[in-house]
Formats: sequence, structure tokens, C-alpha cells
Amino acid sequence: MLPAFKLLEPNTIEEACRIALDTDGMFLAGATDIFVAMHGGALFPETLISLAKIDALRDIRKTDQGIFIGALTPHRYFEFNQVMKTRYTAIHEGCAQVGSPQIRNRGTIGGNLCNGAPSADSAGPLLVFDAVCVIVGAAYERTLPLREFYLGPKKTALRKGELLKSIYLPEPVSRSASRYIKFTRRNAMDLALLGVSAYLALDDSGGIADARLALTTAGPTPIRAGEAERRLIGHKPCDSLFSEAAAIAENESLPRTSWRSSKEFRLKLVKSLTEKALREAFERI
Amino acid sequence: MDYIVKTRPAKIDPLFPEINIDPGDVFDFPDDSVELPAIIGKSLPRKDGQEKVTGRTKFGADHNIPGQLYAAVLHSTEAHAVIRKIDTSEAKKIKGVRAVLTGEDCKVRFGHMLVDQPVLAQEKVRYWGEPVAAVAADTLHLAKLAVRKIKVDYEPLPVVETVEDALRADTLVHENWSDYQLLGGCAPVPGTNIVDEFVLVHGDVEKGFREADVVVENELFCSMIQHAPLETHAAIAIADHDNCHIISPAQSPFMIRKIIANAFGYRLDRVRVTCTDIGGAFGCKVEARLEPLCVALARRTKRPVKLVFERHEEFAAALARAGVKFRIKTGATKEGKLTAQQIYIYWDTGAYATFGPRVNYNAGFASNGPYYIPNSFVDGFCLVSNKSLGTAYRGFGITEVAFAHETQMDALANKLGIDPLEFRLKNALRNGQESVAGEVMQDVGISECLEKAAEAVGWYDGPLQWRTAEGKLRGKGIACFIKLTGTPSTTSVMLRMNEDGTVTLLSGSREMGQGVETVLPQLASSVLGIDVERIIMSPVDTAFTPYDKTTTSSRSTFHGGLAVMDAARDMVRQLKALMARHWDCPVEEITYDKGVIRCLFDPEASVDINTSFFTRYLKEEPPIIAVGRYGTKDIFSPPDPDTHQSDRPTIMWMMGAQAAEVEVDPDTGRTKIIRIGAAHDVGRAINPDNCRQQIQGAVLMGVGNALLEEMIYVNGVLVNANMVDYKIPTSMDADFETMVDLVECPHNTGPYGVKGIGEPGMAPTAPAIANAISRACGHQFKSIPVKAEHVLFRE
Ligand SMILES: Cc1cc2nc3c(=O)[nH]c(=O)nc-3n(C[C@H](O)[C@H](O)[C@H](O)COP(=O)(O)OP(=O)(O)OC[C@H]3O[C@@H](n4cnc5c(N)ncnc54)[C@H](O)[C@@H]3O)c2cc1C
Repeated sequence: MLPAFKLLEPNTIEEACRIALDTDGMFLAGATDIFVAMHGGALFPETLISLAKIDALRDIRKTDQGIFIGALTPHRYFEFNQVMKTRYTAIHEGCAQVGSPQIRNRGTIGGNLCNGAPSADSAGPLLVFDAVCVIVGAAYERTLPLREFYLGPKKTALRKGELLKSIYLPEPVSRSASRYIKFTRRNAMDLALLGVSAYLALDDSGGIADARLALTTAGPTPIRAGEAERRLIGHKPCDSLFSEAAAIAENESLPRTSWRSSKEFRLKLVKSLTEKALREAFERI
Repeated sequence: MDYIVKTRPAKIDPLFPEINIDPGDVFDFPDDSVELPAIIGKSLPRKDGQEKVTGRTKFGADHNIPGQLYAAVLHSTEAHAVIRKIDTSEAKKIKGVRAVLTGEDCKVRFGHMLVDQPVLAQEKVRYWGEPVAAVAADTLHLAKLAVRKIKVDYEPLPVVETVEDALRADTLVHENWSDYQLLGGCAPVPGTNIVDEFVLVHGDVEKGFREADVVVENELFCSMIQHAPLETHAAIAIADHDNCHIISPAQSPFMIRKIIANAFGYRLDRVRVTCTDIGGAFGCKVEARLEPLCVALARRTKRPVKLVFERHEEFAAALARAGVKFRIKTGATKEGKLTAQQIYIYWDTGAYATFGPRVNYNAGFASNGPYYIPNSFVDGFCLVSNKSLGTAYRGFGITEVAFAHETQMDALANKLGIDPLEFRLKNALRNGQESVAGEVMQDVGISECLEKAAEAVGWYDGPLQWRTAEGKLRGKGIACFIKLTGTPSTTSVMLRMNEDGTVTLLSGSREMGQGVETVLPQLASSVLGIDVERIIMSPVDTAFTPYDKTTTSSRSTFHGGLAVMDAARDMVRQLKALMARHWDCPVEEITYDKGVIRCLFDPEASVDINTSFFTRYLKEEPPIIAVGRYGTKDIFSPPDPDTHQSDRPTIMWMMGAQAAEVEVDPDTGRTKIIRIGAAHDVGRAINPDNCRQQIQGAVLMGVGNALLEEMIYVNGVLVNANMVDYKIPTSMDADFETMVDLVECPHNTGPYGVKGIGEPGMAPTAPAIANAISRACGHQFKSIPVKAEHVLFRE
């Protein structure tokens, strides 16, 4: 049962931030993380600050350099939007695999990131698109690359009184493609036991101009596999190169053994799924 | 209109000696040339279907009683610990809290075989999640709040977590079995963690192994899993010291009635159990769960008390299917004839006995599979541990034992280089052969099931193991099972004709997804000739529903069906007598055919009971009300306690086979089911679509069992006690083809030849899938679920 709580519904970002500063209230977006924790007896917030009435958090704005996507945008948007499908394919693939249609309708991209779970399906794909977080406080706005957003398990760079306003996605270059592979034990309603996101861009001669790899649930936070990326850049794409890069990614990941799975199992998955994600991203270009 | 084909000599029913069973009452359909009533074999839609899918059905939690209090439970955070102190003072201070109970305030224990389970933990807790305190308050919020204010001081004890721990008996879960009232059905061994032992001895296994050319031995394991019904447990109780009324989605209300009466000292008839619709049970609602807690709180507060488990509580403190370990050894000749099988079975039944010993018993009888094996030895131990309570779970241990014997069959077939299907067919039981229980078998349809299941996945169309163009590993596997139904047992029903000629059927058989509310009216209609639309089942309430032992063991269509037909024939007699009076002719001259009553010698005298015209004859007449009974005590031959040999240990054996084709990804270890072929001997399909649905649903449940489900304990704590981490298959995991074949090898006593199909659909699924994965990978897996890491790290 949901424990009792006070619900506040501010109309503006400033108001929301001020309440957060003055109380111990938690922001409430789609509630698909919060309510589950509250139902299960793991969380008893006294005050919830609903963001639902703040239209500014739903804005989606295209610029010449990229897109700003409001934090309240639900996963369903990324699942069906054509630009996401074609240009930001990995993000589309990540969001389209969240939970179930019901969860994707309610759950938001902001909630997915701010919840801080290492398994968040949008996190890895957003990382390989070099997403930037637009964070606002009561009287200021700051930007922070998503790479710096995660501080630890369930810990983000948001300070008290700050909320995530939107995500900025730079426009990907023309000869590029991406792929997200999520490993789960069942076909739906499951969290990633491992997620691999790959982005590749080619130069005119067909060599790898840019490579980005992100791993989810391979450590306490979603991470980029920088060493593996560097091994790829400047080389001709081929299976053996992908295999080498995957082996490096395996070294870069930091999974722990838990009852959910052993470290060795996750490492094996990192290797085989990184290889596969790179190959399939490349095939898409 | 009696569908009698073969008659047997009249018999006196020992349970009801005053009732003479008419020889015509025994149904027997040895061949298919007999014409069946049109309603038999007709796929009517489920009577409860529309209400359920449109959300109108009221389940346990949907019911409320004016003036009720709301209960909440404090669950143990320790697996095994002495309770040093419970501080309830803060909880009691909350305004609106009407009662806070601990084991100190309520010394009641309950149980079905052994009265070992405290309503609230007494002195020590025996599993993580065990109820330690209970609160009743004006609102649910207050009750939950009060629970959070209760402080418990525990002194941890060593945890008995595995069957090895239990067998070692360094730590006893129960110090003194003799402290508990023993009701029967089990024999706890003093100074051990053994609640019961089951031994079956047939022939001489040592001799059998000497005759074998090959012998395989394996240690196998099945995880503890949960029923995970959509509807969690719920109950309301209205009780004082003389009377007790319970409202709950009980699976076996008469058992709950008995358990509650015995625990709280009520006279049996003073306990009333009113059943709500059931939102899934699979065995977990056969136990008294929330009922005793509600009764204790209701007696204390003198108010109705309602308690509903939340999902995390359902995981922590409801029920489970015991984990089990097997040590199994099987021998065969070069030609592939089984010579002997020896099986040691260790059930990890959790903290209290519940129905665990019954699982051990039923599974013990079935543990050799549907095979002719001249020498067998089974030693089954039902062991307690500091874990969730293992009880009935769709089949009473049948999937688990099938996993054991079917792993052996594949191992032997592989060793001998014989096709696994051929190997099974060579050894499949045939009519007239003696089973391992010493019974001469009849109506055995297992060979046909094996052949049909195999055919459905194209067994002979190609190799059983191959690699796809994409590099995936494919494999096919097959498995079969045998299962008894609980015997002896009894049931009774009532048919009431209403003033408008419709019929109300009163039966304790609970609709829990198996379709009994549709099938029993079909059987009544088959005798009465009344349109099945005009026959409905009444809600179940022990205050007015005739006695039925239990809705378990796939017994309801068989037992309930025979009782319904008995009642229907009685109703026909009454209708004939009614019309004889009206037409003023001797009752011998009245005929009854498909609901049309006629007088032989008066062409004018004819009436169809399905018409409104007929109702005029009912006016001011003694009501038409019929009773039907069925019991199996007379056919039951009590097994020898030391060897479990018996001429007739059960009224009905169920058998079936399934074959699976799977695809394994060698890079991730993940298994995808491609198709399942299922062939079950249903004896007679009264409602074929319903039979298919039973099997299809069960197969998906079996997939969970094969690939996903396990209750994971770390130091006695169930760590995956939620729906994300405890993985049941979703509809997206039903992305494979299931082909169902209904084999009809009629039972010589069941209604029109019926056998049970509620549980069996699940029995061979996991074993067939496990065998298919083993074949795909060229490695025999020794536990279920078979997870991706098992595949990746196979030796
Ligand atoms: C059945 C089920 C299945 C699921 N499956 C998946 C899955 O497959 N993959 C996956 O990644 N997740 C899954 N989830 C988790 C969840 O749905 C997602 O993380 C979702 O995106 C959370 O968004 P929300 O809007 O519901 O967040 P909420 O629950 O409303 O909030 C989550 C957290 O973020 C904070 N927050 C929300 N918005 C903001 C903001 N703008 N600024 C600052 N803080 C904010 C909240 O305070 C809270 O701490 C599943 C959940 C359920 C219940």
C-alpha cells in the first residue's frame, strides 16, 4: 500500500525548486520508480512534489546543433518518434525496451536518469550521443555532460533544490549509426542484466572517425568504455577490431558478483554483446 | 436417458451403506462407438470468462464488511532467531489502533497434518517473513504505521538453509516434534529435521542393477519457486468465542474450516467459510494463511477484521513449492530395457509441515515415471528448514520428479545410443503391466502421448541437435510423467430445480481457472437434458454447500462430475415421479429423454423441461432437489506403510508427454523456446478447448519453471522477493508455438471416461525443455531453472 504523503503540484520550475529547497520533498514524475519503492515499504517520503503541471518540462525543441528534450518526456516518445528511430536509434531501442507499454507511457526520461539506477535503459544510449543535462535550481541553470551526472549507485550530481529540466542531444554526424543491446532473462518487464550501447561514425575513407561505447549494469553507474573507444578510432572497422575493442571493454567494466549474477557472467556478456553491438552499429551505417 | 454401456454388479458404498449404487450408475466407455450426449466434447466458453476479463469479478480483496478493522502484519527480519523482546508500546499508543497481538497474546497453533504452525511466532522465528505481530486498526494506514513502530529484539540462531543442513541436524528447526498435535499423514522423526519419510520398495533393486548393462547416477536439483498468483492472499474474519465466519478466496474451504475449528477450539459447524472468487491459486490457497491471523484479531477486537497481503508480503510469508534434491540411479540392459531405479528424494519443505508430507507421498509414487521398471526403491524425506513454506504447487511434486526420471531416461538413451523417444516407448507402461507400486495398470495412454508430442515438434524430420545458419544451437527434448489423484476422498453435490425450471448446482469444487464452473454444468446437462445455460453453480459457502474434500489434485471433474451425474439421475427420478403424479400413471410408464418427459401410453402426455410451459407442473409441488455423492474409499487399497505397495493406491492415474524445440545463443547462453508439442491423456475431453487452455497456460508456467523461476536465499533471507527479481514469464515470453493433442484413453470409472488435466499440463514442460537445452548444448544440465550462466559456464 502507498504510505500517506503530502502532494504538492507547483506550476513553475522556480516554485518546484524552492519547495525542494525548503522541504524534504521528492520530485515526482511518472512515479514508476517512486511508487514501486513506496509500495514495497522501502521509501516513505513525507512530501512529493509533482512536476506534472510544469509544461516547460515537456518542451521538445530542435535547434541547428541538436535537440532539447524535456525531462517529462515519456519513453513512449522515443519509441515512436521518427527522428529518434532514424538518427538516435540506440535511444529509441533503449526506451522501447523499458518495462511494458504502460510503464513506457508513464515513465519519463528524466525519472529514468535521476533515479540513478545503473540499469537505466536510456542512460547508455544517451551517453553515446554525448547527451548534456540541463539542470535548474531556484534561480539558476547549469549544464553538465551526462558523463559527469552519475556519482555512484543511486547518486547523481543533482544538488538539493535542483531538478533536471531537459536533455540536450547534439546532432549526430551524417555517416554514423548506433545500437543498443539489452540482455534480460525474460522478454519484457525486466531490468538490464547488462546493456551495451555503441555509436560509430565513419570518415570518407571508411575508417572509424568516432566511436563511443557505454555499458549499463557493468558497474555501480552507467559508464563509457573510453579505452575501447580509443582502440577503435582511426582504424578500419572489421570483426577482429571489434573483438579486440570488446576485450578492452571487458577490462574496463567493473561488475560485482551478486545473487543476481556472477561477475564472470557479466564480463562474458560485456565481451560478446559489445562485439555484437559494434558489428550491428557498423552494419547500419 | 442413462448412458450405460457396460454394467457392473451392484455394490454397496461403504461410506453410505444406505445408498444402493445402481449398477447402471457405473459408467464405462470401452470404445468410441458409443454415442455421447451432444454436450460432452463441446467447447463451451467458460461461464466465468466474461466477468473476469471485463473486471467485474470480485476477488478476496474486493470484499468489505461494514464496521471492519484493517489488519497489518509485522514480518520477521530474521530467518532463525530467538525473540528476546517485542516492544509494542509505541504502536499501541496510536489512536485508532484497536489491537496489537504478538505470540505472547495468542498461543494458537494450526496445521493440517501436524499442528506446528503458530499464528504468530512463539519464542522463536523459523523463517524470514514469519508473522511476528499483527495489528488491527480503524484504517489500513494506521495499521501499517503501527506495525512500523513495533520493535523486536532477536537473537540469531544458525540457519538451516539447505537439505544438507537439515540432514546434518546440528540445528533443529523444531526442537521437539512431540510438542505438537499430530493429526495424521506424517510421522516426524524425533531429534531430526525430518517431518516425514516415504519409502517405496518394489522387487529388488540390487538384483536389478546386476542385470543392467549400463547404470547412470545423477544428483539433480529443482529450485524452490512461488505460485505467484495475480491475486495475493486475502481474508476477512468475523469471530467471537463461539462462532467464526471467514470470507476468503479459499481453495479448499472445508479444510480451512477444519483447521480453524481445530486451532481455536470451535465446534466444526460453528465455523463458516464463505468463498470469494479466486484470482489464481495453484495450490497456495489450500493452506490456511491469513485466516488464522484474522480470526485471532477478530476475537480480540470483537470487530470484523480484514487482511490483504501485499506482493512483497506474498513473497515473504505466503507459500512456495519446496526445493528438492535427488540422488537417482537407473539401470538398463543393452537393448534398452529398464531393470532398476533407486531414488533418494530430499524436499526442502521450509519451516512448517503444511502439505509437505503429502507432496512427498504423491511425488514418491510418481517418481519412477510412467515406465515398467521391475525393481525400484524410493526413499523420500520431507525436511524442514528456515525457509518459506513448501506446499501443494500444481502437481504435488510431479514436475520435480519428472525432471529427475526424465534426465535419467535421456542419460541412458544417450549412453546406449538409442533415440530418446524410442527408449521411452520401449519402457512405457502398458495395460496389464505391474507398476512400481504393485498395481496392475489399466487405461494407460502414455505411448500414444509420447508419439503425438514428438510428432508435434517433427521429431523424426531431422536431427535432434543442430546449428542454425546464424550459429545458434538447436535441440529437441522430450519428457513424460505419471501422476496420481489423492485417494481416498469424497465429495457431494446438490442440484436444486428453481421455480422457473433452471437448476442451481451446489458443489464445493472451486473455480480457480480450471473451468469447473463450466464443466460440472455440462455433466449435469448431459444427464438432465437441460440447456447448460440454465444450470449455474452457486457460490461456495460451508454453511450450505455440501461437503467436498478439496479442490486439488486435478480431481474435480472426475469426483465432482460423478457426484453431479449421481444427483442428476436422482433428479430425473424425481421429475419422472412428479409427472407420473400429474398424469396419474405409474412411474414405470414415464420415459425421460434429453429433458423430454413422456408417458408411454398417452401421446398427449409429453413435456419438455426446457420450456416455460413445464414450470406450471412445479407449482406447490414438493421441490425437486437432488443430492449426489462420490467417494473412493471402497476402491482404495491402503499402501503398505513400509513398501507402499498397493493394488490400487489411487482411483485415477494421469499421464502425458511434451516435446520441446529450443534455440540456445552460444554467446549469451540465453534460451529461446521455439515450439512445444503437448499430448495428454485426458480420458475424455468434456470441453476440449478448456482442456487445451489448461495445457497452454500450464506450459507457460512450465517455461518459467524451466528457465526463470527460483527463490534465492542469502543467509536465510529471500533476496528476490519482488516481481522484478523473481521472474515469472510475461505474455511476451509466450512467443512460441504450443501444439496440443488431446489423447482420449477413457478411464473405466470417470464420467464418460474423464481423467484430470488441471495440473498435468505443467508436469513435463520443464523436463522437456531441460532435455532440449541439454541436447542443444551437448551437455546434461542437472538443475532447473537452466539459466544463461549455466549454459555459458558448462564445464
Ligand atoms: C514494471 C516496471 C518495469 C520497469 N522496467 C524498466 C526497464 O526495463 N528499464 C528501465 O530503465 N527502467 C524500468 N523501470 C523503472 C522506471 O520505469 C524508469 O526508470 C522510469 O523512466 C522512471 O521515470 P518516472 O518518471 O516514472 O520516475 P519517478 O518514479 O517519478 O521518479 C524517479 C526518481 O527520479 C526523480 N526525478 C524524476 N524526475 C525528475 C526531474 N525532472 N528532476 C529531478 N529528479 C527527478 C524522482 O524524485 C525519483 O527519485 C521499470 C519500472 C516498473 C515499475
